[in-house]
Parts: sequence; C-alpha cells; structure tokens
Amino acid sequence: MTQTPHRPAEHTTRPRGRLVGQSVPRKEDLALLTGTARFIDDIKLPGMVYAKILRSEVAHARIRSVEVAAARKMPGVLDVLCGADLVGKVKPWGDMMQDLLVGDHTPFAVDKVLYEGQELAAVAAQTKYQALDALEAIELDLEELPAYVDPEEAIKPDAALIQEGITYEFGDGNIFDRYKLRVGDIEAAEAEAAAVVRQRFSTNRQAGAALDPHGCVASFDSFTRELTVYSSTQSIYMVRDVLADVLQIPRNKVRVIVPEVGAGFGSKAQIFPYEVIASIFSMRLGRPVHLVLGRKEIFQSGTARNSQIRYAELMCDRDGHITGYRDYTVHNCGAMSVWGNQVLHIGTNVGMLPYAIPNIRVDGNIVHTNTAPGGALRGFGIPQFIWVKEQLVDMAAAELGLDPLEMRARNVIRPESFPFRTPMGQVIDSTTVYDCLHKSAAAIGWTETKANPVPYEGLGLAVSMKYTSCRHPSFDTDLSAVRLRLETDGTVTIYSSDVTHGQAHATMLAQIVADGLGVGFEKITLARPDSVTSPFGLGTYASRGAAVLGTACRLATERLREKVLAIAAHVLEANADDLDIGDDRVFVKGLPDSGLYLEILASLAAYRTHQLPPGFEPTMEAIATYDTPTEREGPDGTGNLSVTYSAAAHAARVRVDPGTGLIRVVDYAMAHDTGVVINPLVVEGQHQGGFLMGLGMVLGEDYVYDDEGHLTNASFKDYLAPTSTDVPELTKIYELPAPSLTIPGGQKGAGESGTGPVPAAVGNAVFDATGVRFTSLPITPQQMLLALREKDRRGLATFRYPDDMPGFTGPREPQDWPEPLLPDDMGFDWDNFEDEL
Amino acid sequence: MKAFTYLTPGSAEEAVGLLGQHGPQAQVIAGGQSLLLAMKTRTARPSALVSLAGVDDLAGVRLAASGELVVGATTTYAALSRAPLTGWHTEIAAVAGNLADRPVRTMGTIGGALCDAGPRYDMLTLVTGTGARLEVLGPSGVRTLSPGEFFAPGGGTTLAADEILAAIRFPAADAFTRVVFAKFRQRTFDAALASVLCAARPGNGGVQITVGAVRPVPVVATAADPEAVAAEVLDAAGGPPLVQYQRELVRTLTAQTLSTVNGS
Amino acid sequence: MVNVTITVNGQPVAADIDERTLLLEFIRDVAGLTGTHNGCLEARCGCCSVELDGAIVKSCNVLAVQAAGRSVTTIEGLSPQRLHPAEHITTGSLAGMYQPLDMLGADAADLHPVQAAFHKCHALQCGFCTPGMVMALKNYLAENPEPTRDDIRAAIAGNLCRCTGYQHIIDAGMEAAEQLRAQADA
Repeated sequence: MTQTPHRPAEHTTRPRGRLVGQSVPRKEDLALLTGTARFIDDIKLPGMVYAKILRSEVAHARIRSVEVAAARKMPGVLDVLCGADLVGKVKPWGDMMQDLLVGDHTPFAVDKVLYEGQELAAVAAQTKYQALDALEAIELDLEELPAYVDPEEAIKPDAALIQEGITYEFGDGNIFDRYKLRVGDIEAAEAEAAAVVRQRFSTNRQAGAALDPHGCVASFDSFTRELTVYSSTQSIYMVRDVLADVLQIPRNKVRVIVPEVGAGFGSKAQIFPYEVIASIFSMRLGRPVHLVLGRKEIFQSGTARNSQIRYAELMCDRDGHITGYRDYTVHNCGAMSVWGNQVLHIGTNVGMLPYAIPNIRVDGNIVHTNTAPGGALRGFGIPQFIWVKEQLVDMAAAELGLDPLEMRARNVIRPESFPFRTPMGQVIDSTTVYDCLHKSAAAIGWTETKANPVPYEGLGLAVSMKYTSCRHPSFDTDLSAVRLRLETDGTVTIYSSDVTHGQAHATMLAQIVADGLGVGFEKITLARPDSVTSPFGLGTYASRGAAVLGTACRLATERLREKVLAIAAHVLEANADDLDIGDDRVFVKGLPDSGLYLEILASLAAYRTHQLPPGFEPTMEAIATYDTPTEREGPDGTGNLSVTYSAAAHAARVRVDPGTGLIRVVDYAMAHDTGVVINPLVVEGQHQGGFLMGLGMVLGEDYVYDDEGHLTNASFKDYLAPTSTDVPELTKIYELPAPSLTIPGGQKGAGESGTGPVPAAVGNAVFDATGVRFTSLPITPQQMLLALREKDRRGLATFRYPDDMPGFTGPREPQDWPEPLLPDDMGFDWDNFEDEL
Repeated sequence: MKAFTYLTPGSAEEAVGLLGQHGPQAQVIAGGQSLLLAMKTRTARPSALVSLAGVDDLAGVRLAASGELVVGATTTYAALSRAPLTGWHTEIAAVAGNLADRPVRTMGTIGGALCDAGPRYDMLTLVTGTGARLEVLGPSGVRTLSPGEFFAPGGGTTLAADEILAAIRFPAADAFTRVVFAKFRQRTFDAALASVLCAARPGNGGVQITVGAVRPVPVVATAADPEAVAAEVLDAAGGPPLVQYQRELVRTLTAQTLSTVNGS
Repeated sequence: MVNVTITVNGQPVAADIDERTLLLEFIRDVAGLTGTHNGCLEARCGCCSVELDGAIVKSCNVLAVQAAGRSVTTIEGLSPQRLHPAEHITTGSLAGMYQPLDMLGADAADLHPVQAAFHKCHALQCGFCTPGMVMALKNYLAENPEPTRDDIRAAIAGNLCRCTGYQHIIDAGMEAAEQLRAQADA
C-alpha cells in the first residue's frame, strides 16, 4: 500500500463566523458529484426481484377481462396481479390523510379504465426483461368508450360519468368538487368600475418531469412482518400512513426510507399505485421487489399541473386601482387527483396577491376528464392564476391609458404598518413587493425601452406572492419537526422527515445548528429520512423548508443549547447567563479560549450522569415541532393559509422571429423578497430553477392529447422541456429582503416564488412585441407565427390567440360565456352567507 | 426490447450474406441511434442484428478520382463533421455537426439516418438536394441509386431485406459554387420541422431548391421563389395548422438560403 | 447470451450477458457503478452520458455488445476513490494522540476540475443529472479549452436539467475551463 500524503480536505474546512447568510458550499455535493449517491434505481437488496406494470393503451374503457394465466407461465415469472385479485382486499385511497372525501384510487383499474396509462396488471419476475416479456402475454378485453379530454365537454349535462360509483360530497356528475370565494360586493364593484376587462384564459398541463424516475423497492420481512419501502418520495409519512391504511396493516409495521431523491417539484408528494403494487408483491413473495417506472409511464400516470379555463373579469377605478375580480373557473384534475382540488383553492387564494382586492367572486368547478391525474407542481395553482390576472392587469392598463408599471405600482400592497390583513384574509407580515417591482423594471430597462421600442421585441411585467407554507383546506396541519442529538464526541445529528431533494437541507439546517450551538459546521450530519427514526413531519412541499423546517430546527437547537449550558453551568459552577458557546465549547463570556468542549458535556450526559446537575434528564437530545400560526380556509374561501409570503417581481424581454415564430426570452430580471436568506447561492439556484419551470410552462411544456385521450408526447423527445440553449443568462437576480415577522429567523419560502410570474411576464412581453395576446398556454412558435399571419391578413393592431383565429370554437366574447354550472346543492346561501353565520 | 441474436460480420459481403440467411426479421445496426430507440419501446422487434461496426471499409470519407466525395455509410456524424473538406463539401460537415446532440453524433451514422429515412432527418435533405448517389450492396453486387430511387415515394427506402447501403457519393467540390442548408426546430436537439437546401451550380446552372421534413421524402422544387416553393411543396393554402406553419417555415427558410446563396 | 469484456475506468469487466443489455445496464448492473443514471432510456435526458473510447455517448442508447472490447469512462472514473487518512474530528483531550486510519473515499481535493467547479458554483441541486452533465462538459472541454458561454450551452444541449435553470452549470463550465487551462499551463 503506497502512503498517501496527508492533506487537509477542503470540504471539511470549517466555514467561519455566523453561517446563516453565507453561501456555504453544500454538504450534499460530494456524493452526487462523484456518483456514489444512491438513488432509488440504485437500491439492490439480496434476493431482489423486478416488477413491471401493464398500463392501458386506451383512455376510457370498460374492462371485460384481464387474463393473466399465460403470463404466469412465462420464464422467470414469480407472480402476477390484476385489479380483480385485490377487490375487497385493499382499501381505495384518493385524497390527503384526513378529511377523506373520496376513494377513487386503486392499485389497478377494476371495472373501468379512466385514462391512458392506468394500471391494469403487473408482473414480478427474476429479471426486468422477463417481467417486460411477460406483460406481453397478458390478454386484455376492453370495450372502448368515448373519452373526455376537454373539461368543458365533461361537465355538459349529457356527458357520461367518468368516475362511476363514487358519491362526491360536493360534486355532481364529472364535477367532483366545487370552489367558491366571496369577498366584498362584486356587483357593486362592477357597477362603479371605470373599466372592466374580460377575457377567457386557459392553461396547460405541465409535468414535473423530475429526471430521477418515480419508483420504489419494497421489502417484506415475513418474520417481523415489517414492510420496508424505499421510495423516491417527497413525504415519507404520507406514503407510510396511506400505504398502511390501503393495506390495512399497522403503521408501525411499515417503514419508509428515502434514498437520494432526484427532484420532485410536487410530482412525488403523494402515494402512487406502484408503491402499493410493489408492497403487495413483496408481501406475497417474501422477497424485495424493485419497481421503478419508465419515462413514458411517468408522463402517462404521474401527476401533471392541473389545467384551468378561467372566464375572468378585472374591475378598476379611473385611477387604475383594482376594485374587483370575478371569474368562473373550470379546473381539470384528470381522471383522479389527490391534490387537485386544493390547487384551485390555494392557487386562487394566494394568487390574489400582491393586490388587496376588496371585492372578489370566484366560482369553480373541479372536474374529471379521461386524462392523466392532476397534481401538485411547483407553484401549486399560482402560476395558472397569475397568468390570468397579470395579463388582465396589462389589458386594464391599456384601457385606462396607464403604463403597466405604474398600474402595478398603484396596486401592489404597500401598507403603512405590518402585519396587514388583506380583504382576502392573508396576513402580510412584511413585504418589499413595491420595491421589487421597480427593481425588476429598472433592471430590464423598462422606461428606456418603452421610449424606444424595437420591432418584434417586447417587455412584460408580472408580480406575485407565493405562500411559504400551507394549511390546506382539507389538510389541517402545517408542521415540521427536527430532533437533534449532540453525540458524545461533540458531533451533531439532525433527524427530520422532510426529504431534501435538491433544496440543500443538510447544508441549510447545519448552518442554523452551527450558529445556535457553536458547533463546527463540518461536525453536523443530517440523517436520512426514515419513518422509524425521524420525527413526524409532513414532508417537503409548499416552499416550507427554510421557514417551517428551519424554525423547527432553530427551536430544537435552542432547547439543546439550554441543556448544554445547564450542564456547563453546573460543572463550571457558573451562572448559565454568564456562559456562551462557540468553537465547539462552552466558555465564560469574554474568555473564548477557555471552557469545556461540547464532547465532554455530551459524554457527561450519557456516561457520567452523576456529574449532571440534580434532576437533569440525561442524554443530549432535543426535539421541536413547529406548526405555523395559519388559519383554516373560511366558508367564504378567505383566510390566511400561509405563515408568510415571499414576493416576486419579474420583468421579461422577448424577441420574436417573424419568420419562424420562435420566441426567445433574451433578458430576464427577477427581484424577490425571500426574507432572511440562509444560503444565498442556494436561494439563487432556487429562483433560477423556478424560472426554468415557468419558462417551460409558457413556451412549450404541455400534455398534448388527441381526441381519443392518447397522450401524444409522452417522451422527452416530444415533451418540450427547455434545454440549456433555450434559457437566457439569469444574472439579474435581486434579493430585497423584508424579514418575516412571524418566523423567528425571518425566513420566507424560496422554492416556488421564481415560477409564478414567468408565464404572465413572458405573455405580456409577447403582446408588447407583436400585438398578439395569448390567452392559452403554452405559446408555441407555430401558434405565434400563425397568429401573426392572421393578424396581418386582417390588418388588426391587436389580436388574441386562439380567440380570434378562424378555427376557434370556444366562446369569443363575454356575451357568449357560459353561466357557471353551479347548482347550489350545498345547502348554503353563498351570496348571503354572512347573514347565516 | 425483444431478445435477438447479435451478428458481427467482418466484411460487407458477409453482412449481406447474413441478412439473406436470417431473412426479413434481421436488421442492420450501424450506430443504432434510431433503431435502439424503437427496439426499447418494442416498436422494432428484430430477431437478429447485423452489426456493421466491424466492417472497416464502410466507414470513412475519401475523395474519388472523379472528384466525388465518398462517405462510407457507417461514418458517424462526429467523424463527418470533423472531416477536412473543401468547397461546398464543407456544408456536409456543417450539417452533420449541427443535428441531434454531441453524444448522439458520436454514435449516429449518415447511413443509419438514410436507411431509417426519418422524414425530419437532415441527411435526407442533404443527399436529395445535392443529388448524391447511393451505393447499395446486395447479393448480386453493387447498384448505384439516385435519392429518388433510394427513397420510396411514400416514405422509407427501396432497399431489399438483404441489401445494405455501403456509401454515399456526393458530387465533386466543383459541382456547386455554393450549397446552403437551413432548418427550423424549436429546441437544439429536436428534428427539423422544415429544412431547405439551396445548391447553386456553376455558370448558368441555376439554383436548385430542395425542401425536407415536410413530406415523407424531400421534394426538389421546380419553383424558384420562396412563396411558390412553399405552395408547390405544401399546396397553396389551408390544411391543418402544422401544415400551414410548415408552409410559412419553408417560405422563410427558402428566402434565407436563397439570399445566402445569391448574395453574401 | 454472449460474453463481453468492456474496460470500465481502466478495469476490464467481463460477463456473460443477454444481448439486449444496454451499455448503461452493463455499467450499472454488471460493473456495479451506479453513478451513471437512467433518466429516460430515450437518449434525451443525458443522465447516462459516459465516454466510450474518449467520445461522449448516451449509454442508454448503445448496446453493451457494441462496446465490447472498448473502453468506457464513467463519473466514478473522474475522481477515483482512494485511501485517505480518516477525518479526525476530536477537538478535545485526544487530539493528535492517534494516527488516522485509512478509509476509502474521495474528497473535494480529489475532484476533477469540472466536479470542483460544480461544487463551487452550486451547479447541482438534486444531483441526478449531474454525472451526465459533468461527463459531457469534461469531454467537451478536453477538445475545446476556450469556450464561450454559448459554446457551453450548445455542448450540453443534449443534457436536461430540471432544477438549476442551467445558469450555474454554465458558470461551472466556464470556471472549469479556466481551471483546466491553468492546469495545462502549469
């Protein structure tokens, strides 16, 4: 063995000073950079077998039979399952963990196929190829039914029922839930308005398309009867609790562990059929079962952003102050959706910001179609709503002859004192959204460019505020937890169930602990989420990491610090108030080079308990759970659902090629209020990634269905995920922090605020460049060019796509709009609810 | 992917023999960049693959005594893009270096694209627009085809099951004074939605305009101005939005390539 | 079944494999190196990019039999793990009393300049695309030592990233190019 020279490792070099606020290089990186990190597909257990799923190739059909006998005889096949095998044995699931509304999800379709890609059967075999070969031996007899792809077709009174046999509490037909929002007096606002702009908008279905495929490895131990599931998920407890419930086995016999998770963006924030199928195979075979989905399967059966059609109206006074907003929304959740209805509630509630609109009325129908399940995706309904509202603001500004920047400046919330409660119910504890607006506009050269316009170039603005956490209407909790242990050698282990999958939890939490406990950053380790060891928490979603998980970590750190100081005070015979912590030791204030190392104090608490203060409970652990002081949604739809709100003001410069229709975002400015930033480089990365997802939403990403409900672009070849050459330089990123007054450390959510304004900012810029107002998403080069040609052909100054295109079959003008399909079967007088309360 | 036998002939003749022996279920693999995609989704299910990787004389670029540029069918895009070429031949290298992405260009071959005959592939437009000749080897020897003979009118090729494409013979460097290719695709690695190649012959030979990606096989236009070329290739008006769009693209790309050929 | 030998990161790996085994599967399942990732099997995402005889390929779109007798470099080959003195974290009374044990691993000082630049520039979030991105850039920069930012963008156009917006990856590419030039000059 050759002697390797000793040299200090760079990654263990201790960052100095207060770490919160520093761009400390990430702890996560080394394993990911060198290929030693283990993702779900890398998990290999002794005796492991492989499962594959047979999925429907039609979107809507009655199942006559699924014949698996031949597949059972195929080489290497160990087990085959289909829907009929499990009827009455597994409990359907369908929504979040409490307040269960429906049970519309099953491991396999049983009587009916509801969307292309739905699970019909599965095979477990010795090898992947044997499993795939055996799938071809399964015989299907399906009676195809007409598919509903368009949600407005699905809610017509004569439409056939998609989900049969489920009685929805608030639904009717293919409308499975309703949303109503009432603030102020919208009729009065309309009557008094100086300008009302009205437009029908529609949005697209975007996939998370996390590159790390969805998948799991399930391993059942027939001796302990413990089911261990490694899953690429954002939430171990949602998977554990729903899985145990579905299988009707004890929750303490289900252990969920995550490997590295290669992103999710919301698309892994729920349980999926494959987790149930792999578990059942493993329980039947007593062997570990690997079930990782292929890309086409993920496109077809993973969740995609819910699309919306909004018949929207914005009312303003003559000075451009927004006085009212009204719409009727048709919200497409696909054939089934765990999170779908929440997306409409939260996206609309929070999406009203950053304006304090005094009069609001929204009626929404939440609808099933024969398309892929709708779900959570970065922004959670806010990008859809901002796309609508921020374009209406530009349209209103034009009508009033106001500059769009000035129009927004007059409307963004700028209260004289905080906290400020909006009519919508949000409690704004601080914000710099007004400054962000001006910062982004200045950075893009708003005033100069408006004075000297360039042909086929345009500027657009959009502003939004994003929740930092969320108390969901049907999910009355908003908590995260951290347990800390000061080990007997002075290192610290952090336990959390909130899965880091790109958000740098290991680094961010270590920064908080290092500052609070005076322990070296390099000595702190984040344990992998594991439902046997991690404290209960909801998981990583809703931009909660830094603020909610970070606060739990801060509280646990404070508790641990008190313990450390109490022991030290006893040993040093000093007053705890006279002590301080830093550089891994406790010392008397003013004497930082003296004192007791943390390892000594920790080992006292474990191995020399006689030396502890009288009555001191040994061990050096502290746990803290932080549930936010948020509100449940009120019966009128109002309420403060998020603990604080991060602001984003974006400004886009686009260039349109009049020969090809290609739209390039050539410059982009983002000004954000993310409160106190723990790691600036990490937050910058979040904003850039958030932008990418917004760019994909506006310029290409979509689920393209044909009339039969076939997803025609279920591959990265055809699904237009943006590449490196589609993105502008993203250097104009500005933080204008207003620390949250509610979160003890002042943090606000960073993960999703970069996405919300992008589609609207680009849409407004495209209009500025071309005079074409896109009312549907995404905007493709083909649509752009055909719109330009049609606009020129008719000699129009402005033009709407697709509304003014010859082939457009939807309602073009407000007088053609449909009445909201809202039979008031909820036993509640919505228009006079205040009298009833 | 369905199971298959992998065969590695050492010569082109041996490859042809193996194809004959294994029948129509056998398929040639060069770089495999299209074939493997189809096999993974089980849309292509060959029982045997005949690899041309071990047939050295099918790869490489050389100038024939006639001045023709002879490109072996298994020459990769990467090799072609780096080949030291002169005159209009440099456009061949440029086209090969600006399609798909770097890793695909490492494996992908010119012959593979032509035999797969994907309508949106740039190589189809290139060989059609420059009037290259395609050397096909079969049991009874070599036959040399024009692109019009090689590509079946409705798409695909006229290759028999036991024939392989051996080489592409591009006209000599002095056959054209200028060749310009242009295409449109939304993302860098996407296949073209429309492509146009303008080839200017010396003297009063005129300019030949070829349009690719919008029909099953490339179309050599008889018209000479962008509007008329678009109308000729894709009818005068109407059609589904994609066709309307492609007509606009053909017009734009034709104007662009013509102006480069004629002017600057 | 067919017997195939592929040299992976300098080590010959021989196995009897099903003909349909992809190079990706050979690297992951036979050679046991899981840093090369399967993100789509469609030759689009680029997560499986490796070098084959020094050229960059998407290993999901190459059969292992096509690579027989050839050499592959994967992400694990860029910063080979080696024996390091184990990190001593003791700050108290035992400091310096014992020589550190050797332990296998790679540390930041072992990283290839492209990997080091990714770490410095925060060019990775979830890290799933990272091995493919690093391989694509490593391969490109070896041939193109003085790239522009647009060159870097074009070089990784076949590698998708859903997390970063590519900005920090481009930054890392430029940073790595500078470091590689400095190394070459030294």
